[in-house]
Amino acid sequence: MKPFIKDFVYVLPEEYETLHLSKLANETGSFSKFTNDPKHPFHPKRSDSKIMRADVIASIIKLSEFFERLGIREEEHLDMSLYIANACFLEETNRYIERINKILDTFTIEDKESQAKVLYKYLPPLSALETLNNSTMSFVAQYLNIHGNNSTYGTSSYSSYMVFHAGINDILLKQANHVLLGGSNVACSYSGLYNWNKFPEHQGWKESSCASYLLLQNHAESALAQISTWKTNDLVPSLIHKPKYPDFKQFFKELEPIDQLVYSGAYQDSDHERMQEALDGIAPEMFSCFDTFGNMGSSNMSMNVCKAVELIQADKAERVGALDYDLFGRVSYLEIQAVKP
Amino acid sequence: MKEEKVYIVDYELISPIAIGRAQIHTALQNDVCGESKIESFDTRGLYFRTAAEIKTDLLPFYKHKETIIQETCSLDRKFELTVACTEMAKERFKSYTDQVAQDRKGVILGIGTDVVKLMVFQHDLMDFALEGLNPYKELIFKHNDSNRMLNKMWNPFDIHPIYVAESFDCGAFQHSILTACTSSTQAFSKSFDAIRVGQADLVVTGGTDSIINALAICSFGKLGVIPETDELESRSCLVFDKNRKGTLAGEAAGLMVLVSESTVESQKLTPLAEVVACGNSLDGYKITAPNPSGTYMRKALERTLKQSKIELTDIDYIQAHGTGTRQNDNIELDGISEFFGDHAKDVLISSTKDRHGHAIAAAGVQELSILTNCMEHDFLPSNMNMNTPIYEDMNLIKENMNQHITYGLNQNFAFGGVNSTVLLKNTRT
Repeated sequence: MKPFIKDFVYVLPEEYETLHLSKLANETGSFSKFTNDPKHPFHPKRSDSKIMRADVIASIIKLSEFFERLGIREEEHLDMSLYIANACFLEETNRYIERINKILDTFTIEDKESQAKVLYKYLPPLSALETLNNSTMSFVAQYLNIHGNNSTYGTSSYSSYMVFHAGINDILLKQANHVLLGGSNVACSYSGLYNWNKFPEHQGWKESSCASYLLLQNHAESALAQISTWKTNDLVPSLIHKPKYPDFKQFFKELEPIDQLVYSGAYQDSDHERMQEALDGIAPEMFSCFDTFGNMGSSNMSMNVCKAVELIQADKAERVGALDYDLFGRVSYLEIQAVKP
Repeated sequence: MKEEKVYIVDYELISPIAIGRAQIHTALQNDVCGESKIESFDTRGLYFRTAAEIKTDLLPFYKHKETIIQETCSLDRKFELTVACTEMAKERFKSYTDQVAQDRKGVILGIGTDVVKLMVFQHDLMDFALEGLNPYKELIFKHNDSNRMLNKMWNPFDIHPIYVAESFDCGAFQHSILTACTSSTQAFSKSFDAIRVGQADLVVTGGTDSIINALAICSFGKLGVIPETDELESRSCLVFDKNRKGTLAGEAAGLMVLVSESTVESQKLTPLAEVVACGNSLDGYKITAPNPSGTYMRKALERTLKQSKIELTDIDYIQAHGTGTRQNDNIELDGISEFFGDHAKDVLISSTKDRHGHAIAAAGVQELSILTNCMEHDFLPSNMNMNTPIYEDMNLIKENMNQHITYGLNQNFAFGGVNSTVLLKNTRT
């Protein structure tokens, strides 16, 4: 039994822009429509939203609307699986850095005991929870009443494929009838700081905020599409050597022909041009998520699949490939098909 | 679809009580406790002076590695633990991994949150600040100049599974699971699924974490999870005791080799334990606290039991999460009591966190390694520091026991209400 896609939802910053992150990184003010509207019927409680990133608030509101639109019954939530890919655990890197700068002030205190006491005082009481890796998943579970199998994956864009890996396994192993999966990404200087030395600096790192989710189910009834193939390039990545550029043509040799390819993975314009060239001829039509949105990190693959389903729904294609390529050279691929009556 | 059975064939552990699998049994038998004065950072002026720290110098395990690996290890304790554990296990694990094709073996690890050792760079940071620059960013720009996929400081979580995958040539997948205290338990559970469903024949699973740094200890201390201790304290973690005050900060790295039944047969392997079932659930209650009703903790147990197809009364022993915190221990025992009913007074229960501390993301792999070891040696560890049990009518182990276990259950719970259980069967039964 191959899994079916019941529906999908994604959320992009209202004033859409991709950020060019380099040494002089700026923070994004994305998702303010959601964060600035505490009266929204699905806005999280104030005590919770204090320790939520904007992508988490946006995810909760959009997913609550999504569940309401689909009319998902309470009993379907209880055993629903939940798989989330997260990249960034600090929304405002600059605020984090300001905290570190406060610590610097204590370096001038010569007495170690006094220094430690000041440091302890500076530490926000909920800092352990603010940086909790599984906070998106746990908050989504809390607000949508989901209690099933679960996991949070991180951190490169490959994690956006891992959630499909886990969700598909749950359907195949009959561990769940429904799986909610996806990822959220915050464009801030976090990944720029991680990776600035791996790419030509003058081009920076083009990234955007995004949250995208899909609901999988184990049956065809009222499904929008089906996941028919899932595959990676089986690469053993390296920490020492930069990855060889993948041979996409070879990768696609073993796969069925597709009508369209939706792809992501580039980090900057030159990288994108190279990817376009390498993928040329794979499908009659191509859609580059990078071109439209920039890199969406842990939301890459789920956004690709959302776009693939949109194409199928618009009768523009019957069989669409969704491909992502990560920083370490790992290629992940899902094939999405129209559901035959 | 025919589901493959899954077996544990080997494991390695670096823990405050044992450096390597071979030391685990003796450490448990002798009630070795890892708690002592913190030495890895200056605790003067802090309220928390002890932890279960790994005191052994780990450099000998990786001093033959590339300079960038050594430099990263010196700045990132978690990576140092992963590398040391992998290097310790390498020769033994390779006897299994070398027999399996690259695209049929994967890695899934549970990883904890990254912390940069700011105090090490005190002078650098001050210099940048005096120059009017942003000190933290400049620090990263200065030190992450290797032009490699690995940074000296502040790396993505992916580096851990990638290091292990490179060591054992695992190409099928490399996943990092980030669910706090259930990370490595869930890594184990997802590895079990990947083999069952036929995506891999072998998975190296486990995890790594350390919360022995000022930031983590103070953060957990402020949440009331870690008690105040003076530097002479050696038994602060009173798991399942009425007078418990909190958990013991710990660190660990562990790796386990899971293989399919067909791999066991084709390689003529002798498995140590069968992985019978795994169950996960979400409280969906509050980020700050577990659901006091224990409803979804029991749901994870229910899912495990349903998958196992055994009777509840077949379970001999529970390796509990048992953190020594006010909230966890009561809810956990109440949940066991309600789920097991009459069998709750018979099933043997202990937690070993009073010995090795709470290794957060590595808690699961540390405790699953200990459970496997106990199955090998027909041994059950006591709740070492428990003097006044929360419940007298439950079988909370008071003294170490020499006893065969057929079915042993491990459970871990995480902040944010994540519940994960694993059921193992002794293959010598």
